[in-house]
Formats: sequence, C-alpha cells, structure tokens
Amino acid sequence: MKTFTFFIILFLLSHFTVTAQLKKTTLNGYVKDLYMYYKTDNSLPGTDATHLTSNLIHNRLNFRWYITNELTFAAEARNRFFSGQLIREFQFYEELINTDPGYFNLAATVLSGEGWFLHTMVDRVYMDYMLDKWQFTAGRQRINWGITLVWNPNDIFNSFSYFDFDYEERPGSDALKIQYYTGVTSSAELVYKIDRNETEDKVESTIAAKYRFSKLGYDFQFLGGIMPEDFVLGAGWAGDIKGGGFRGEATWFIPHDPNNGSGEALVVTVSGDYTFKSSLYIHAAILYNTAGTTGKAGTREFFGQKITAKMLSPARGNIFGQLSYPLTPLFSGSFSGILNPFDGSFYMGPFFNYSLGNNLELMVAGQLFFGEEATEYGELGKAAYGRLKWSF
Amino acid sequence: MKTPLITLILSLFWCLSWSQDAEEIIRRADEKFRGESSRGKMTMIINRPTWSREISMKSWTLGNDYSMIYITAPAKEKGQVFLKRKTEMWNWVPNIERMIKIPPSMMMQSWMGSDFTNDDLVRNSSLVDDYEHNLLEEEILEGYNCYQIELIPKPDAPVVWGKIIMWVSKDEYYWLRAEYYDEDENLVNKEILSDIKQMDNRKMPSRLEMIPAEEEGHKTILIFEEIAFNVDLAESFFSQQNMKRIR
Repeated sequence: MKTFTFFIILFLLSHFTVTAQLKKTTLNGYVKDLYMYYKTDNSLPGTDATHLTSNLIHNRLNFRWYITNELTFAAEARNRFFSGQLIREFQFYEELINTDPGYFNLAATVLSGEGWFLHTMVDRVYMDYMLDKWQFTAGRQRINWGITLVWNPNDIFNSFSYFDFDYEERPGSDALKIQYYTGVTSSAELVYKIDRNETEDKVESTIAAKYRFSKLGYDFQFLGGIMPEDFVLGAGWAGDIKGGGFRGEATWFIPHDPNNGSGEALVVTVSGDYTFKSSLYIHAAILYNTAGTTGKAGTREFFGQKITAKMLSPARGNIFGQLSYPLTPLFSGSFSGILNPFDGSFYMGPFFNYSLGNNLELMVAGQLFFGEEATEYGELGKAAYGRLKWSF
Repeated sequence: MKTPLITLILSLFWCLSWSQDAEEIIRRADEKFRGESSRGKMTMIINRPTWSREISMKSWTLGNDYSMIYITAPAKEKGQVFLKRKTEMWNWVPNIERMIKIPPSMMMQSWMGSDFTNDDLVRNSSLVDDYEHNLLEEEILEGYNCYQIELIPKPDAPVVWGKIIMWVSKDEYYWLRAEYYDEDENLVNKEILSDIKQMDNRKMPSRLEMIPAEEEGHKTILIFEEIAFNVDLAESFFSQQNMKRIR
C-alpha cells in the first residue's frame, strides 16, 4: 500500500514537471496610495493639532523561487513612503512605525527628511520544504491559526487587529513550523517561535502545537502551547447552520507563575454570517474575555494599537455587526460597528470599494469612534481614508 | 379494436425511440465537455455596456464530487485556491496564510455579477438525468445541420430552469446553442458556443457565451484555453495540502 501511495505521488509530481511552463520565479505585489484625515479627540504627544492629514505610498513585493518541486524560497517586503502634516507634527510617529516585532530586526527607515520618511520592512523570508505528507517552513513567516473574521483568540502568533485594514498580511513570526498532513482535510502542526521582548530586553519563545480536522461538515482545531507568560489551550470550529457560516474560537491563558501579573484569561469569540441570494452579506460576532474590565476600558491608542490574542479588547466583551452589499458589480459598500456594552462606547466603519479595472481599485472608508471620556472607543477620534490600489 | 391498440403501442415505441435518440444526442453533446477527470485552463470575461472584467484560472476535477481551482488572474486574487469535496468547500488565501471554510450560502454569490450561475459552472444538475428530452426539429446553424431538442425538467429535479432548448450538430454532436427559459416560459439566457477546436482527444467548442435576454449589452464569456480529459487524478489529489502546493 505504501509503495502504491509512493507511486501515485511520483506520478503526480511527474505531472507537475510535465506542465513545465510554470515559472521558476515569480514576483507580484501592489502599490497603494493611502490618504488619511484624522480628527483627534485627545491631542497627540508633542503636538496640539487636532486635524491631521497624511499620505502613505505603500509598495509590497512578494517574491518566490521554486528551487525544486519540494523546495521553495520566499521573500516579501513592504516599502512605505510617509509624508504629510501628521509626520511633520507628530514626532513620535516614525518611532511607532520603525519597530520590528520579530527576533531579527529587518525593518529600517531608509531615508527621511522634514515631514517625510521612507521605511522598509522584510516581513517574510523563509524556506519551505514539502515532502510526502510533511512540510517544513523555517524563517520569518505568517502563522495564522485564526478561524473567525474579526477577533482571533486562537491566533497566538499574530494579533489581527480589525482596525488595521491596510495590513491584512500582518507581520511575520521568526519561527520553525513542521506540519504533517494526516489526511486530505486534516493536519498536525508544531511551531517554535522566537522574538525579542523590547521592554525587558530579553529573548522569548513560544512553542505550540495544533491539530485540525473535518468532521460532520465542520472544521475543528485544538491547540496547546507555552507562550512567554502563559500556558495556552485552545479550540476552534467552522461550519454552517442552514447555509450560514458558524465559527468560533476559544483560548484559555494560564500564567506560568500566578504572581507574574499576567492573570488568567479565557477568551472566546463566536460568529455567524449569511449571504442572501441578493448578495447581501450579514455578519455578527461577539467577543468575551474573562480578564477584561466591565468598567471604562479606555486603554486603546489610535496609533500603535498593541493587542494580543489574550487582550483583543481591554473590555469584558465586545459585539460586532456588519452588513455588506454590492451596490453594483463593481461598487460594494459595507457598514460595520463594534460596541462595548459595558462602557457604552462604540465604533462605526463605513467602507466603499470601487473596481476601476482588472487590477485597480479605489476605496473610501471611515473609522468613527464614539463614547465618553476614558471609555474603550471614547477618545480615539475620527478618521477618513481614501485609497487607490494597483495590484501586479 | 386491435388495430388502434397496436397503433398506440407502435406510436409509443416510436415516441420512446425518438426521445431515446434525443436523450442520446444530449448525452453525447454534454459528454464532450466532460471526462471522468479533467485538468484545464480557462478565462471568464464579464462584459457590460461600460466595462469588462476578466478572471483566469486553472482547474482540476474528478467526477462531480471533487474539484480544485487555482486563480491565475487578476493579480489581486492570484494564488487563491478553492477546493470542493462533495458538499464542502474551502478557500486557501496565501497572503494571509488562511484556510477558510466556505459556508453554503456564500457559494451562491456570482463573481462580479457573472451571467453564469454557480450551478452552470459546477453543474450539480445533469442535462441527461434531470430532464425529459423531445426532438423538436432540424435547423441549420453556423453551417451545421442541427437537432433542436427541448429539455423539460423531471418532477423534483434540482433544476432552476422551466425549459431548455438546445441545438446540437448532427455530425460530431457539437453543442452550439442553448436557450434557457424560466417556469413561465420566458427566455432568461441564451448560450452560444463556438470556436470548435481540438482539445485533448476531441474536437469541441472552446468558447461559451452566456447572454441574458433582458439586458442589453450584457454577456459573460468562458474560454477554455487548455483542457485535458481523463487525466490521472486520485481523490487524494483534492487535499488541503495540495491547495498550498499547486500553481
């Protein structure tokens, strides 16, 4: 039986070789121009301006070298040119941008001047080796264990922030990942990641394993691991109820040392979405964090949002809702909102996307935060964005 | 008394044999686009009075239950992979390194308002098994002598149409045209098939145009650039591991 499987794989591999017009190397990416207007609620450190504007020209390059059928080298970088009044007046902005969350520092401000700077960051550089049912990935890579679409307590290697819409790729992790495909829709994964803790100036590591499989029309996953401060245990699922998506994730964070100030937390999210025949899409989600506060949760910052899988929101809970609709085939609109039901603060996000061509699109979006002083979303101000994106 | 009975039986036989023929014609025309498995490259073009958009893909199929699609264009979508195994579907999005399970309601969405329904592309229903076939007449179309055949859905067949009229050439059984009617017998879509080419081991139309009846200037074109049938693909090819590997 083993030999038989081996021959099938050989056969498939030879098929891949036969279709040999496949390129050995590929390069793609995009260029975006993002304009932001920001009205502050509280003025930023070092400036008393309350209306700020900035422009960001953002280029992403994704390079692949398919060395053999099994071995691939990948490198991806983002080059960003920041300019405008925000950069001129808010002096700490360049510092906020110029950080690398990984072990290696692959980010640098290449050039800068009065009110502008050019920043480059390599957020992927890895080797991938796939053989039989094994896959080994070493280097800076994205490890995404999230399932739901707004909050991801299972995504312990990255923290997806819903508000950071301009960077869906997210930073990479400096890690070794070993995957074994136990079946056509199941796999086991082991990850060892290292990073630097800037504030305490030490090297930290995370080791974690995940098993995912499909059963009864559902995808399930279970994970466990040791993070720098906590032991983690988690589970997640994705399936459907009467055609609508039904997904969820839960992670339990248990501090190594009960006195290290980290605190135990169970973070749970559940979501449902449905696409009607008219293409109207509705989506709702809740987030619950046993370690979150039921009081005023005003610790967020508009720039440099530091969220972790354990603290996706400082609040005990958040509620999310979204409606999307293609007004025309080329023009789609979306409206989303997040509410902190404990302190009454909320976020509203209108979002419009227009396809100008096969590879060109225009986006207009708003991020509007409302609430009283010291609440979760109360002092984050209001931002409006315009973005032109060309993909190649 | 006997004669009418025999006539009835004979005419029944005659009808049956005709409908058998009609069914056979549809079977042979439909089979041109099928194999037990396939591997292909295709492009879909959405044409509207003021704009047009294109999507290109590679596909692998095995029976009706297993298929995999790799998007090659537009650039923004390139590298995304869709896997269908029986009733389940997954989407691999490489730039965010995520395997998304697609709920059934989302499969209803058409890409950029294409005039093909997902059922047209995935063909969950069968033109042969889900319809009764009647031979209407013969007609010359694009220089081909054609059979004109009416397809009426069988009761309880999982079909969206009230009626389909198909034109199939007498020689070679090329499917050249189809008209899709709703349950009130109104024409909804007209399908024109052309560019007959040698694809793999057979000659077949390589260009399909779906034209909605009610909308001026609207058209969706599907072009088969390459297609190979009855290729060696095992069920295990349609795996999440291969979603990350194919290109």
